Amino acid sequence: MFPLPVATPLDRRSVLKVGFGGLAALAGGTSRGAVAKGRAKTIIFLHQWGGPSHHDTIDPKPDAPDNIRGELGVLKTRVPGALVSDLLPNTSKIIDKVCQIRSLHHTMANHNSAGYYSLTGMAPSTDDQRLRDSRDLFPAYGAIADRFAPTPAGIPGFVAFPHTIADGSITPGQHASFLGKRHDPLFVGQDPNQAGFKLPELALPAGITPERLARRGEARRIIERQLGDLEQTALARGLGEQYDRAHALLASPRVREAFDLSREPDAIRDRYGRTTYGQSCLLARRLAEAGCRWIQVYLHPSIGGAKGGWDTHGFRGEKMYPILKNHLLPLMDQTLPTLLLDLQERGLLESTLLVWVGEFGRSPKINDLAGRDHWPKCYPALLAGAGVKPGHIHGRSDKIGAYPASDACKPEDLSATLFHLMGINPATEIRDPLDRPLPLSPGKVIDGVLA
Amino acid sequence: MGSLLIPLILHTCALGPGSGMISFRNEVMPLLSQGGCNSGPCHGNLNGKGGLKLSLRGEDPGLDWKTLTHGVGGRRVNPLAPDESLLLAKASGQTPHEGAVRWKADGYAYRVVREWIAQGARPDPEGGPRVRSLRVEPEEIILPPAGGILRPKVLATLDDGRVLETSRLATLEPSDPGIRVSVEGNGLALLVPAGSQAAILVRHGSAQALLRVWSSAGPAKTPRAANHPVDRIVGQRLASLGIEPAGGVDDGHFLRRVWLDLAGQLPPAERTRNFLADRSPEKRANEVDYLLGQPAFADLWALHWADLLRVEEKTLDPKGVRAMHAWLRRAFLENMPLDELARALVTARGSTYSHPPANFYRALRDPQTRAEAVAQVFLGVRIACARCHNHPFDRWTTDDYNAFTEIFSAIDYKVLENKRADDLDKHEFKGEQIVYLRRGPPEEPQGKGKKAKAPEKPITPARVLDGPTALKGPDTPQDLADWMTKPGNPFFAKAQANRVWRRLMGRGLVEPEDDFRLANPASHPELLEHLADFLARNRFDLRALVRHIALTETYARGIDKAHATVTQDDGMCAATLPRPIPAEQLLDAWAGVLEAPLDFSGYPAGTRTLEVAGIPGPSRRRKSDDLERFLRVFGKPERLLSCDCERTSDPTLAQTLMLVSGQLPQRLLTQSARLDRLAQTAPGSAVAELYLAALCRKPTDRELTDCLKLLEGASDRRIALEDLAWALLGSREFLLRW
Repeated sequence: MFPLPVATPLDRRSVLKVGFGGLAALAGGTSRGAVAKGRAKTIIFLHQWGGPSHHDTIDPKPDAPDNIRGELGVLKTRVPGALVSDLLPNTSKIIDKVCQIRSLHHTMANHNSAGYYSLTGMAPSTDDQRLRDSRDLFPAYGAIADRFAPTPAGIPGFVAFPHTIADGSITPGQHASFLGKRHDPLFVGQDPNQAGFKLPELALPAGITPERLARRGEARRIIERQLGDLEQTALARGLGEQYDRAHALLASPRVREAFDLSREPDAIRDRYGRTTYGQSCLLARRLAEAGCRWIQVYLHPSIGGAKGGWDTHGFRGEKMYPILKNHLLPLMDQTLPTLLLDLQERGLLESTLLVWVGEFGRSPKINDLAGRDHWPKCYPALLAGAGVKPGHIHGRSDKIGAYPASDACKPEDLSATLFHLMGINPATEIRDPLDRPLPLSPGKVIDGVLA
Repeated sequence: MGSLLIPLILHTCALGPGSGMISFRNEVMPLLSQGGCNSGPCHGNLNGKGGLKLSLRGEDPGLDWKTLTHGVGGRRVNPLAPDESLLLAKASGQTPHEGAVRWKADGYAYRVVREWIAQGARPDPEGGPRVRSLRVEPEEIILPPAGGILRPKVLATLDDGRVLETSRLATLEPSDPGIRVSVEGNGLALLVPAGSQAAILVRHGSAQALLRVWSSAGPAKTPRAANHPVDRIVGQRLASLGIEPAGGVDDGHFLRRVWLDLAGQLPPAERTRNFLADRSPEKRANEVDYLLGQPAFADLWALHWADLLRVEEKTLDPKGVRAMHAWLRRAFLENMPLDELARALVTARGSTYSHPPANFYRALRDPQTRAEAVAQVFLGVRIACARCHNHPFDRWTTDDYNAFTEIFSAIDYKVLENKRADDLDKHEFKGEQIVYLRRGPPEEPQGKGKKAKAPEKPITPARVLDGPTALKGPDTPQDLADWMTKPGNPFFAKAQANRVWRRLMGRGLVEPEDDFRLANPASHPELLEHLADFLARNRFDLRALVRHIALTETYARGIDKAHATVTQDDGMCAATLPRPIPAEQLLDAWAGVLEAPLDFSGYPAGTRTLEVAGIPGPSRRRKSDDLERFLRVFGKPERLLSCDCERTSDPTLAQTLMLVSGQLPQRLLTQSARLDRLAQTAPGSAVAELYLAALCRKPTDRELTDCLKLLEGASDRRIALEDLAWALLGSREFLLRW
């Protein structure tokens, strides 16, 4: 295992594209320092597709009128003033370890535009459900983490699973886009809850025995010895390095074993719940142990439905409260506290940051179908672990959860904070395919959440 | 401070509105630019910084004057106590400033701005002098290998004809971030490190000039004699910089290169053997001519243009993709001149099924996208920035953008039917569409609840880029095509010649190839002129230009020690630029060397990847097959942008994992007819055959010995050959075109 240099061999053009220092360093780096030492070695990003109702989860409004309060009761927590829905008993017990932001807001009311915003911290140019996933859009957080805080060879920097999310068309913001495919996530499309779950990329094709693998290695050496002057070019070296990474990954028991959930005691697997999402959260913990940088778990591929994401309008006779009671809240209450406590018990919470956030919240007013509609004007995020204050609430929503009442934050402020916590200067400049200079995050680090 | 002011006022009064008066527009604004104050990461940001927002790179002096003089209760400038002005206190760091110290407290910028404030912080009066154009001396300079310090002299021509030195007011923006700009007494200095080949944009207000810096490798040499004009131009530049170019490649190497570049595939082993044995001095030219006559040449260019023209299934539907691709392929088979191709696309109308070029506008669904794509693909210009604000790095204004966009505003389409599979997916169209030129204003959207829209802002009359007058219309796309393809058009021939050069050389003379602008000049302006001229004189004959380039010494260069370790893409053409074989060619090369079938669904058996019109985009509704996955992993673009930059070529982990543990490569190895055959022949000739097919060369003696040892040690010859073939087809020598 050897650490990769921060700048893997780049051709001249790539060097030019990544503006080291220069104005970017002036723009935001002076007060906090350009290369702060990050507290969070790993971020586990639990993406809540569909848009969770804040009223029915972690920002209830018990004193609001019926048509806003909803039909759920509340539980007190150890943090004064922090209530949670009464269907989240386990969650109520960990609120003292969590830093809440209750004042996120933006203006994107469609899943794909808001989803892209939530996955990149970059506002799309229009609030368009048809926002199309193309290489001129901003890279996923994990791709930036992989580019600017690389992991040692053999350890994937950015892993995402177990779904690709979409609303009609695929939601942008799930891959490296113009940062280059080398920073794309190692994507696991298999269901970790299935027996025999494994990662196809880490398994050799049938018939490739260790003897054959060794012979292939020997044959490769024979040919590569003749490479001559080509060997010295940046491209050939870069390619060779990717070969080394592939071999290191295949040879590394650490990563392969991380993906082998059968090594986990049944009791632990049961604690996370025998669901795709539950076992994905367990996989996330195992990958954090293996040293991955950014681990992204998607709740569900679809925005809503009886067994889908958080999009609970009440359309098509699918009533919100039954779905919340039977599916979403139990799922949340079994996974989030379990993951947090598991990380803590293993001493990983010191260096791992857990993030729970969707693309928006849901309307204060309950609609005619007894559901709640999209609400980007105020919604929450949960952070826990490395570098953030436990038992803290940053920003409050107003009496009915409609608008931020204090310390309003935007997704780019959250992205700046996450990068900062990883030790990446959010003002670092990158260039899009039109060569436009863009900061990694145009937002401000939310100082109020920093421990 | 009084005595210091004398030279200052002497220097600047000519730019000001009256004797001794400092000009806001001509002096204060340029100093804000020079300090980086109005740059994107600072106060030029969309949201400003620290409560102060200036226009991006000073595009709106009027607004900035208001902001500075009227904002925050007038505290930014205070004519009664100039030194207490927030503008000076912040910029000089006397008040904490997140952007650090920009102006020293007694420095030139500080004094000029202080003086302007003391004079009342006035705007420039109507009719005050303005900078019309800028000149920099020198315009071009060759520096010694170690680099050096440059003190360029900047001369501004005012609109009244006067010429003034304004070196101290200019903003210098080097294309190479390694070059540092520092402020010195009466001007600016550029600290150029060793090895820098850079363009430095010199700005004063909206006037711009360019300074080019070349670092030499040693003393100038005498240019080598060359017969070919391309070699002559390239050779002169190399000699003037003291660079010794790499030697030419051997025949096998040349053959592999020219087959990949002209036909997108590897030469058959038999052809390589014959070529190597051929003693004719004309054999390289003969081979180029042979390849130009192959249908694969058309396949390769149809693929390239299908990428640029967004030929993808969701918008065009599978039938449209096939129709458009077939039309492109025929155009290149018949050697349709490039100007005719451009005209056919830009003026296309009618059914997207029966008149395929109409798919050009089906793929580009609104006037803005059309304008940006036409500018990028045909004219080599990126105008997208000017959609929202004047282009910060180019001369295009939003007015230019709107006028160019207006050309396409009358293009409309009727959706005859849309049988899309996914109702939620608004990008999906399945069914015939008719592209037509609408007479009159757009129809109001029908349906209840939609109010008739009030007429929006006045329409900018349609105008071509750089065109002073409005197009006569009403068929403005026709007018555009006429202008674009007229001899002497400043963009078209150069953009196309540059594109062809880039396909063969791996790097455009202007790079990126669709980003022509002052600050991104051609590496060899004279060569670009020559190629554009050649193309126009030969009636935009693509094959003629490809042949012209492929027969140069410059094209046939190799790599040697001297060039391998230095940056490869400095654009000097001293050595070849290695690059990964594109996805489609790589898959065909695997299948070709192994003689293993690729089964593209919906295509007859034996179809090569290069002949496939398009693959479906990623979708949740269907799982990609392993051919599609392979192609995507190796960078096949999804065709959602009008830019070759969408095709990625950087080596990735996913690629090497695909080669090491992927199912598809293993399947091709298992199904290889060639390996079946070679398993029955003598090991020595099997090894030689594999090398020839994959690398176009014989194994070296040592390779042969080692490979034979490897084969002989194995119990199963077929399996051992598979492992050897795997290594050959995954080797860097194989994966790269070099």
